[in-house]
Amino acid sequence: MVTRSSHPLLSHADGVATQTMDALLLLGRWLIAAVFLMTVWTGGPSAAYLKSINFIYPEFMSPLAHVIEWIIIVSLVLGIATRYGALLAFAFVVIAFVTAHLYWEFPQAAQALQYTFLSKDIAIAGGALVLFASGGGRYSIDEKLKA
Amino acid sequence: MADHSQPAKYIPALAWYRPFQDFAYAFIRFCTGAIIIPHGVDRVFYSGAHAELGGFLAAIPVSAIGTFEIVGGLFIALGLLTRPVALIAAIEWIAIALLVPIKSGESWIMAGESAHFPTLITALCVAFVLRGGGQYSLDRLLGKEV
Repeated sequence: MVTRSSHPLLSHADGVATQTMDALLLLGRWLIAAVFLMTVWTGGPSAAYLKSINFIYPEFMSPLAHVIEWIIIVSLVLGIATRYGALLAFAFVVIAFVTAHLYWEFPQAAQALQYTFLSKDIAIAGGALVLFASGGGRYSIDEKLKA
Repeated sequence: MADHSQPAKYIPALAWYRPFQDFAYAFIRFCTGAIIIPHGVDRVFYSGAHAELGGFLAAIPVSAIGTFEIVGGLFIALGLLTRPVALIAAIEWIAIALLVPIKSGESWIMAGESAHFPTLITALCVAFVLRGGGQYSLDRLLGKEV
């Protein structure tokens, strides 16, 4: 029996969501991982970019960010230590937008781009929190490691 | 009945290593993992060891290979998910070994450490794939392995 998520009129999608939950969690993990993959595959954040925004120790922080991005990607794609991966993703994007994407601190010409980065990072942080709450789902290595 | 697992000693009193025999596999697994880690640190943080990454490895970002070497080396050292991690490491290092250029007129035997070291790492990782984490590993502690 499906527990309603809201008023009956607002709960017609509950059955679909419940039946496809594990597949949707898999897809959701992959989509969040894709953001990090698209970033790190193109070398982001580069040391030059971090230097341009006066980030501390850019030559060290850039490769460190790459390592963390790959760990997040593997964790979310395979669903291994998913909750840790989700927390790491949350921390990563929060640090990113707090330190590098406060658009009002940028020159007028760069504010639109930084606004986009900030809004994207806020959405990713939200997705990572939801994933942390839900766990990786049935289609994950975490599921195989249970018991 | 003779014990074939422990041959008779020429000088039994000199068999000082007996108490440590059980740790030999974990020791070599730990050392192999530990020696892979600095390669990853070098690739990621110092950009110094890219040259040998030809072939299909060249299509993968150096940061991915370096991160795998850091995390995978740690996993091999600790014996966590030993078989799958060692398998990926074996594929990586055999690719590196095969891509070492052999100068005209020379043979693989004369190629030196640039060819022999990755071959040795490959051989060790293949052994870990075959045997898993072994007695002193996190795989054994967790009671599950691939």
